[in-house]
Amino acid sequence: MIIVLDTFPASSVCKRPGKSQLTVSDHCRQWIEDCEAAGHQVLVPAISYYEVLRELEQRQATSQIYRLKAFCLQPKRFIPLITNHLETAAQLWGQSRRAGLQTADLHALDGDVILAAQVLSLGIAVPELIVATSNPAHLSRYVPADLWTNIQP
Amino acid sequence: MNLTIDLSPTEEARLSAAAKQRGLDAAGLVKRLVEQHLPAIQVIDASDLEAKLRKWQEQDGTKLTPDVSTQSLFAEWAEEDRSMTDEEREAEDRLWDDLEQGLTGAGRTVHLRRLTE
Repeated sequence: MIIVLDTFPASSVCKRPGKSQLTVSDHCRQWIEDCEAAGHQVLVPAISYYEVLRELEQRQATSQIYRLKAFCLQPKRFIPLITNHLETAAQLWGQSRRAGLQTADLHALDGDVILAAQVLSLGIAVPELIVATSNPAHLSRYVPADLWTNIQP
Repeated sequence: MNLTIDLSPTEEARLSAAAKQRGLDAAGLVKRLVEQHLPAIQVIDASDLEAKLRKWQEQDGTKLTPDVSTQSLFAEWAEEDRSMTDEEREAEDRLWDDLEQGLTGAGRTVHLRRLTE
């Protein structure tokens, strides 16, 4: 199966060990390793990479940025953002607005439709692909998505 | 997804009659017809996927990193992390406490400008 990482799961890869007990990021990081060990291909779309990278840049987390790049920007993993993705995202955005999406959902819409467009562009049949996320509610309007904790490695 | 479709009175009558004949409501029949007539999503194999990613990465000029298994990458980093001091580990706890709240709390945060913003 192909597992596409949304922002939170993608962020966990660059976490270093802390002094206190394991956090949700530690568990997610282990889950990603288990998924790949089980034979799943793990992909990272540019929009997830961007959303993590900017948070790390804000905090000047240099070593975590290095690790994020080392993991995400691999040839068999990274989905760059191209114009075609933005055109598909614009179509999804327009459809959602015409369908009367609630105002409360709008702040997440741009990121959701760009991620969905990147995933749809892969042209992979549904049973073979899932987006691993921490919030499937909105994203699953467009692409198969589930909580990363619900996806068996 | 919810769709709104404008039908002429004749089309509406035909749809209602056909739906009734199949024991469905109008929306149920339209959904069935859509499912039957939508083109299948093209299934691609691993080499096609890699070729597609490579093409986009070339177009984008992505500065790629070496292809390393996650297991090897994490093992290499675990080795580096052995020398972390208590201070560094505490700083890591603080960083991720902050990051996890930001990334899991409100959900996605990308919001692009509208034309009037």
